Amino acid sequence: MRITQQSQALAMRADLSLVSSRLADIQRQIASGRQLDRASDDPAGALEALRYRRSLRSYEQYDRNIGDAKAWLRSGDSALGAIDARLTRAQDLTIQADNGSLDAVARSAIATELRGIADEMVGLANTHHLGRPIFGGASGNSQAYDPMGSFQGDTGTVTRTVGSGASYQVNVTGPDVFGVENPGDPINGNTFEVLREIADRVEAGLPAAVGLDAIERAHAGVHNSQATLGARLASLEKMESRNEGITIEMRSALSETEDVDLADAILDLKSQEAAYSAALGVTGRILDRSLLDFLR
Amino acid sequence: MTNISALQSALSGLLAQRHRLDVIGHNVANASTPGYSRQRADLVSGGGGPVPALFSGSLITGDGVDVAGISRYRDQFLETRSLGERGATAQLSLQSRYLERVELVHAEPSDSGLAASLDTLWSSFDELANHPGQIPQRAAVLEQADSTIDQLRFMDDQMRTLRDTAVGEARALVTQVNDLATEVAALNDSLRPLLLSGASPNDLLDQRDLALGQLSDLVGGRVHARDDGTVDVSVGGNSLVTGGRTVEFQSATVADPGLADVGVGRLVFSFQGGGEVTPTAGEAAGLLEMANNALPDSIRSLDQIAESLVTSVNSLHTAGQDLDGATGWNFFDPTGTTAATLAMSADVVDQPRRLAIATAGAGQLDVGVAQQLASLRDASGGPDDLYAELVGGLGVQVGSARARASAQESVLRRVDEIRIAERSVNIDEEMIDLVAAQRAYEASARMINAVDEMLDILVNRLGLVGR
Repeated sequence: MRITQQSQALAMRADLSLVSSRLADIQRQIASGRQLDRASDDPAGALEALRYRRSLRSYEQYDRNIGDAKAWLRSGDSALGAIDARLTRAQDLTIQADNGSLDAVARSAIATELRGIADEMVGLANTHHLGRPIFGGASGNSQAYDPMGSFQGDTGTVTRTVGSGASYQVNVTGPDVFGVENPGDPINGNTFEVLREIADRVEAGLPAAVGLDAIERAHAGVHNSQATLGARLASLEKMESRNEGITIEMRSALSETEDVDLADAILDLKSQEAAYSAALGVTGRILDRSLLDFLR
Repeated sequence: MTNISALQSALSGLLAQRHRLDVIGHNVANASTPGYSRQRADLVSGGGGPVPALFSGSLITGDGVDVAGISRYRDQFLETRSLGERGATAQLSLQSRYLERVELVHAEPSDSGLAASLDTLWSSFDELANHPGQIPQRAAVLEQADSTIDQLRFMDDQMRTLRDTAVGEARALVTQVNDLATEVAALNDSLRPLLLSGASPNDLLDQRDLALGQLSDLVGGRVHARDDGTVDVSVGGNSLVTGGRTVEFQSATVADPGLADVGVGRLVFSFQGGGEVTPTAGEAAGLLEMANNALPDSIRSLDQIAESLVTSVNSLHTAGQDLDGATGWNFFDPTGTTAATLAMSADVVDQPRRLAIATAGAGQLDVGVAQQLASLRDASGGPDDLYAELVGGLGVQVGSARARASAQESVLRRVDEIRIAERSVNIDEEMIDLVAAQRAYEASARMINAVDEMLDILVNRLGLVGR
């Protein structure tokens, strides 16, 4: 094959630019830390990366939803705890009032305290989480109960999406906890009606023992709700740690697809560098030689 | 042979070697001129008299050397092959260049592309489901939807700009083609008489080769050489150059029902007074493919995403109930089902209360619809799936276009290396030739010297005896 200065220069230029473009590729990969910069670098990998990124972002959102769900459950739980304590006090007072030896003053004091507890419990029943009454269901009313203890909300569920297709209810509604209103027969009505009815009876000197059963029922309602919320909180926490595990798995898979293996890349860089300087050296030595150097 | 004729022979040697030196000088001067073909002085020995004379008894010796012509060294097969490969290379590398720009518009996988924007939109619905009664959260959903719309529109805009660039490039290409065609025709005209008269207009031929190469890059035309030394060039079966005449090459965009859905015309090439011409190689072929197929397809894919977004979100949203109990509000404008026309519905613009995220008939703060909207992120065949499909498909397309272009480039490089080696100047070779010519010149001069000395003996030293 014939070789001329022009064909030699053409070949050398092409070869040098090939080596230096490889060098630039590796340099870019190392600098950006990514081996997958454009979809065309590795279409299958790019699709995988897109999927991982999508899942990661949805898990980020699930994580936030779980956080919100836990806050709901916790505020429900703490309100129920306080309600439980108030009910226990009401129970004590009722037993005390049932003791026939009290005079009118003492009975009226007990009645006042019972009414006070009823008001306090209306307040607790209106506990808010981020501006929303937690026992009010899906209703948009700002209070779950009016001051008289009449339910203003609805029995709608409040749910949070905590995983793909996994939805958790995070509320219990007023009627679940406090029972259903019954103005005609207050002793079988909701907790507030029961407490006020007992107070009325104590004040009037009527037997209050009938109220003890009603308070027991109210206690049961609170305990059931606490159990429900506690169980949900526990399984939510399991869900959370599972999601965390999945997120970590996906992050490492994404990094494997997208990120450059630094050790490999640097090794590659070194060998390309060696090839480049060898090519430059050879080119330099060949190009400055011709017969002219030897003719005199 | 007489002494005088020997002088003549030596003189012809001097002249021929000087001519040879001139050619070598020309070669060396053009050692790095692109498109130059090396030349050689063709030396032939001058025979004796063509007709034997009746009484000539002496032996016939030749009478020196003649320069018969100056030939141009090149391999016609390689030249033709190179023209073909150049056309294909120009087409493929233009296509790969354009597709890479399309890919750049998508810029995936990243945290700022359309995929991320869609994800953020779905998450904003989820976030709203956590705080359904709060107006700022509602406004945030509208804000995010706006930004997703902007992103899709921006991408659509970029694709259209890219297409306009292709059409503009076609227009510029047509001008270049016409200039080159005129140049080839003019060179044909000047070459014909020179070649007929037996001259060696090598440098003009080189110039014409250069112009033909550039034409190949642009339109990949076929070159047909004629016996009188002129060449004809045809594109897509129609002639562009015939001898000294050219036909004007033109580009235009014409309405086409197949492209009406993306609202652009079809790019066509034609010859003046003739029908449509479809170049099959060169940048022109690449531009046709990009402007009429690849770029409209990219725009269509974006439109599909927009349409899927509008229909899937609206069908849920219209069934939902807003903060005031009303239903039937559209989220996106139902008439804007392309990436360019995608817009928020007037129902909800600046009306965050009208986001219908509650299941109809449920409580005011129900979030059934919001959660359904958020779960669209996983809808199979939904906007995200369509986009992933688009990015994956484009990745394969760009990757293979780039691979084909670089394979084709290396083929062209191989051919060109051999072709250029065949026709370009090797300095070493020229130096050896130079030394040879110099020595031959010296030898001829020495010959004159020798004859001169012989004549000196004859004229000045002979016949001293009787003086």
